[in-house]
Amino acid sequence: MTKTITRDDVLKYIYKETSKEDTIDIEKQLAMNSSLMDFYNQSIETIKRIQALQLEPSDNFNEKILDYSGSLKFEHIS
Amino acid sequence: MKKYKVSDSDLVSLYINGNEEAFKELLIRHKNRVFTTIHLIVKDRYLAEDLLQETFIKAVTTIKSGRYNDEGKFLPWILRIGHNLAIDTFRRSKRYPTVLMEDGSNLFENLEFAEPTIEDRQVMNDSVNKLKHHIQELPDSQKQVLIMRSYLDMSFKEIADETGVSINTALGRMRYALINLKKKMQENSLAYDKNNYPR
Repeated sequence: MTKTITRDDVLKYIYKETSKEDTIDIEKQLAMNSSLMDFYNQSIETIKRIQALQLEPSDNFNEKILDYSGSLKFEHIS
Repeated sequence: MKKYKVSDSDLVSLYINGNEEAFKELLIRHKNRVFTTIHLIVKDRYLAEDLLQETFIKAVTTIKSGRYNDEGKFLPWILRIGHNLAIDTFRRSKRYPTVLMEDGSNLFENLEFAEPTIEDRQVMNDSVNKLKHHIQELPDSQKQVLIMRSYLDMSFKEIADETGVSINTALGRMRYALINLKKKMQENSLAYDKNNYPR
């Protein structure tokens, strides 16, 4: 018997946190249930945007850290 | 996660053997991801940059003192340092007294909302910044799960353990975070349409 799939199950599926068995169940139900499918599509779209979000520090950031690193000796090298 | 020709693990090994260029590559690869995570938590660019600096300084100090042992997982390790520093700072800032209005809202939030500066307006026009703003405005519990899952790459089980809630609660918070973000983005695009096509 196919078990009932919730939106939280779909979320776990999106993040590849479902077992093989659950993955098959979820894919079957996604194909039959348009409300779950809408949730899946909307979540994927939002997650893609979140993951694409890239904020950048100021241009001289690298320099500061590299200077610090260069000034510090390795304890095992010396 | 992105695949690189030379792995992070190899770069760390090269760095441990005195190759500063290898560290430069690690810095270039990961600083934006760490910065994004910190910035979304503390909501202030300058503070985020200070914490980013502190994060990388901690990383350099740990590696150079021979205490680095993370089984080749440099990115999750450094993200964790940055995340913890940001959370500590955020918690400390919450201890500062806030001036409350009659309706219980924060005076400064109201001022910011009522009187956006020219810079704020320019910033809000940018879709990347809108998304950043929407994430920052999520309830803390939802934002926390979203950041841990999306940027720190933690599983829902790990998030549940870390935050002391059940997996179902962690999943529920993530679901609400996604629904809220979607709603805010839709509201934005509606507002944009109305501004462009006034009746």
